[in-house]
Amino acid sequence: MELKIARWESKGLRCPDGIVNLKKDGFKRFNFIQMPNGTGKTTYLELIQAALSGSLEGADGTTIGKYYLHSNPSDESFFETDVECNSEKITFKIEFDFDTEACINKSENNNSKVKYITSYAAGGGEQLPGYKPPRDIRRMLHSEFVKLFVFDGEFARKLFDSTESRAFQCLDSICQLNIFDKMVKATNVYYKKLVIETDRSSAKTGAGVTKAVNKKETYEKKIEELQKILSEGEIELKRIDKEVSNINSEINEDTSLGGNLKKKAQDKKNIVDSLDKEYNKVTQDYFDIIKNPVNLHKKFISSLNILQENLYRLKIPASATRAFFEELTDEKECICDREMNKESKDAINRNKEKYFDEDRASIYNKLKSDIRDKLNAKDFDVDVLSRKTEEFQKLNDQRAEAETDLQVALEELKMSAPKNLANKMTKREMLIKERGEISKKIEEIRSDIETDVKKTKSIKILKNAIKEQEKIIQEVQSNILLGEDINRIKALCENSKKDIKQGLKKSIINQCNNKLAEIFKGTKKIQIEDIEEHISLYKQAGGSEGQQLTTGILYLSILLGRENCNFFTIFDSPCGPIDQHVRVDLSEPIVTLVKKDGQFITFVQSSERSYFTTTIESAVDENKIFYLTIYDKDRFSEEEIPSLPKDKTVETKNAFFVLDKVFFNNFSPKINKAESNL
Amino acid sequence: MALDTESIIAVKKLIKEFNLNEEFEKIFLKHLENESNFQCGDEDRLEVISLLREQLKNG
Repeated sequence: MELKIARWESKGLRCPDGIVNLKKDGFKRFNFIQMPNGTGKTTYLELIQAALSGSLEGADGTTIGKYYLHSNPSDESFFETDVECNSEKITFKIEFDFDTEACINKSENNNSKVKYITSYAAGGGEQLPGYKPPRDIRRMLHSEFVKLFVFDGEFARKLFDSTESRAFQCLDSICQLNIFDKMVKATNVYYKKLVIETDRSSAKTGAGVTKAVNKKETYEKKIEELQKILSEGEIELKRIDKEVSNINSEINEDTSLGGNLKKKAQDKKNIVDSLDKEYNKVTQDYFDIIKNPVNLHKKFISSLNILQENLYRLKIPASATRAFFEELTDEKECICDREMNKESKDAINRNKEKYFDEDRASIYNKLKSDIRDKLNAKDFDVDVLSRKTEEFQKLNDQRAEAETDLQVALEELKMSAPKNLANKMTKREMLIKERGEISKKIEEIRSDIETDVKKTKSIKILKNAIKEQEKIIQEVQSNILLGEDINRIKALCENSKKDIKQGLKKSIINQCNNKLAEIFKGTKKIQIEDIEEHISLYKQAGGSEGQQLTTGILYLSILLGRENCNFFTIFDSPCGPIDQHVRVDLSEPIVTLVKKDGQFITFVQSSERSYFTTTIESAVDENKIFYLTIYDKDRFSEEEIPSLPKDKTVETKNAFFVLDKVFFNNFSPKINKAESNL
Repeated sequence: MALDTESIIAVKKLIKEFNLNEEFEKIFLKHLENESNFQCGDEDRLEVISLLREQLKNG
């Protein structure tokens, strides 16, 4: 893929208004753009990066506001650039809408905005709103990627800075290793979204499962114990009943007992049995009575009376049926004495359904009649509960007394009985006592309503607690499985990135070192030792600054070469602080590194010409070089500026654009106009 | 595009080491390809993770 920059134009921004046309006389291999300090080289660089990458779309007002031209504000502010991708023209335009007041006052609350416009032939040639580059080049115009071919000397230096991680970021960008990071990030989002949160803090871990399993086992064990008590108790009860029955038979058949005492005991027993039967019946009646609220308190009766009276007052009709309305429409006159004409019939037919309320009316009427029937019934006894309570207490006393009488009679019988029979009777007593205890235990289990799982003997409540623990176990196990899956996917992504990076690094270091061996020979020989977060050079602290920059450019060009890209390169202020004697370490290799059909654009100031542009000029055909000098109008005194070649000069609102080699090489203003006037 | 042969080989090798099935490999590589072409959003990634999990269950 070939990408060249054809032109750019800016207006109303912190760089000269005007057009830089690099294609005017055909694309050139080397493009020298000379601009004095403070003219806007860095702004050009940033705007080219922003136009190509769309990085200002969605940027905050303060970031946008820094391009506002304070000295000479304009009604219109834009930056537009044309690039050619495989000879197809793509235009990116950024229109600025400055929050003038905030920009002037340098306010933090700056609402400056930008609007992107994109156009290209395949997109219909129309101006598309927004940053919309063709799909096949979009990836190459990612903001991090653009920095690989539009950069400044500072960026290239950072490739060697151990406190920066530029070198790896470049590798990451070009090889898109960050796609694995995106996947890892997504796995975290996925886990958070799907994890089942419970009220247990350890519910996502194995400890959560263990805890729930232990609880479940405890409850299961408890149920098992209770069920054992129930089943064994039932068997015991049967055994005791049988044994008591046998002993009874033996006692009854024994003739050694006194006839009167035996009869007396039997009579007492019959009384107890009879009272027991009555007791059961009265208990049932008692419950039936207290089930009806009117028997519990007189307030219920008075309230029901009030309700009944109110229902009567409502005069709820017996029925408001469909038939009623149908019959009404057959009448000559309505119930309100008006004539039953067509309008009236239509109105009744239209509205009658609103009055169909048969169900509700019948419920009210039934309620009304039920209350009346109940309260007016001849057998309705308002004092039934107190009478029944009295009866119940009396019966209870009788029953207790009869039981005591029976025990006394049995004791007398036992006293008169021979030893073996007395033993049988004692045994029977013990069995009956044992039976009572077992029955009590069974009853405690069957009727327990305690809800605290730690205290309860209710099998039902314990079973529900088990179900709850099972649910927790399932949830926690799902979370654990989810976590395991996520960790596997994460590990795959992280290892993939690591392995690919290792392979790429090795391959890139080899390519760079082969090329460096061609460029720097003898005492100047340098080799890359490693590229981790930064580039480190082999067996030395680092080459000359020129060598380092060359290595940096080489590294970037090799990265771009991996993608089979022949991209233009913009290098701002390449020589900056580099001493003149080592500039050739940069300028000479650049001639080698820039492809024959490549496009190298460099922003320089006059002091950077020496041993940089001059070295390139001496090694390259003149017609392969584009010369442009841009300087602000009214900034320098006339004496400082060489004579302007008028046919090669474009004067704009605030700058001169001079397209001339001689002017380029003689332009060395040192004194600002303001300074010279002093 | 960005996924060159060397990268694909590295990923395939790891998938084998992780004992993941062919369908997993297919889904994962397809996703990386889409991702490298800027054709993936947050929702797409979550969907892919679901598909990959299905394959983890399948063994």
